[in-house]
Amino acid sequence: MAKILVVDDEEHILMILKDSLEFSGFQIVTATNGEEALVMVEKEHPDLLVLDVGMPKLDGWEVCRRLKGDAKTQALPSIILTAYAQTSDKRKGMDLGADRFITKPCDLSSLVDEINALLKK
Amino acid sequence: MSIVLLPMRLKARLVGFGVGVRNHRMVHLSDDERLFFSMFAAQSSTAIENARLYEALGQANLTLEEKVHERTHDLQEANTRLRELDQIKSNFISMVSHELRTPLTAIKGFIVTLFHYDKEISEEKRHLYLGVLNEETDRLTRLITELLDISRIESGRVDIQWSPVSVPTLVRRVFDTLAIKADAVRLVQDFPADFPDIAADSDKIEQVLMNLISNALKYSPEGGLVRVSGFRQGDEIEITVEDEGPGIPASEQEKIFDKFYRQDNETNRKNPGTGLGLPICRTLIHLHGGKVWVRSEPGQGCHFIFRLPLNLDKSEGPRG
Repeated sequence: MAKILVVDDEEHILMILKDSLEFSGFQIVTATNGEEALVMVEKEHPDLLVLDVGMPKLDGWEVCRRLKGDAKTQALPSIILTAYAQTSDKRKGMDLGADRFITKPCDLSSLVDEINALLKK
Repeated sequence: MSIVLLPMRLKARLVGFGVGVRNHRMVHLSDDERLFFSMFAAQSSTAIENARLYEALGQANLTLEEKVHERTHDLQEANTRLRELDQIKSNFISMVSHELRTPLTAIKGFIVTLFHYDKEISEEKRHLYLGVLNEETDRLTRLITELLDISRIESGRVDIQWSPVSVPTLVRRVFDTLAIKADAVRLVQDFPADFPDIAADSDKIEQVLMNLISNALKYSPEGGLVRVSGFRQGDEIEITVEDEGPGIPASEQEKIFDKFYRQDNETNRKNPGTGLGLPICRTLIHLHGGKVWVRSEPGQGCHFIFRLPLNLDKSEGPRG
């Protein structure tokens, strides 16, 4: 069973992402800010990362930049899932090396499709 | 030898005299001479006028150039200012978009999950989900109300309806409204018997109190105390709303009055506010000529303090 790290500082969003992805057959671990996310990546070795952007301590941009800049974590497929919806935000995410950029509110079934596509690679 | 004086005219206006010298003495001018002198006078007066016009034109050009320069500068300044305002506005709109999308994400997520996994979801979980949906739609509603508030205030469309206001009465009213939410938190008010009425907008001061007291409740520990007190100092009153919550670090005490700023803490993760309550409070207090600030040390609770002038010259209309 693929293990996914979901990072979001909004409790309700984190709750529903966790529940719905578990219903879809994934194992879910969570973090509520950027610092915790980096710790969890190291500790849990997830197969994929679903990452919010606007978070305290360390934002999602920075988390993405650090993971993609580190040889050990470079290959970890990362989906940025954010309420920042401008084209410039999307460009920024892709420049930082994110594999997908999805705008909130999102369609959970297409999120699952994207996750499956990235895990197959 | 004789001298001829030639009046030079332009449309009946005398512009000068030409002086002609003849080397013979004859009283009468011949027809040729008359013709010559009158043509000479006419042409030289036109030439003089042309020269004067030319000079005036040059002067006007200079003044015009100066004016154009000045105006261009003014326009450039206005343009820069407009561009800045436009930037502020688009930043605001992109923040609003972000803030609206966040509760919508939760709402959509819960609804879709309830749809797709109808059979897998336990009765208990279904109940939890519906509660969250209710909270998130409330949050969206609050956000929209406060966005309208702040846009009205910032575009200067808010009038202060001055009337005599008793702050202790408003505090009592807010306590009554919040009594159910207060649960195990004690609400206490402490005003001297001779606490003066002020001239203010009753609804707006109530809105400020509602906001500060709700915040105090939100951060209060179970069994904690929320105390609202006040005193008069000269021509002002000072009101303090204090709680026994976790307090606010010094580095955040100014930021919490910025639009959409929210502290990172447990309470905000569980029950995020709109990030507009305190900016609205501050603006409403400013509109009354007062100020608001916070005094707090982490772990020692929070004191939100605001001062309002008595504004006694402003009072009119019925008691509010």
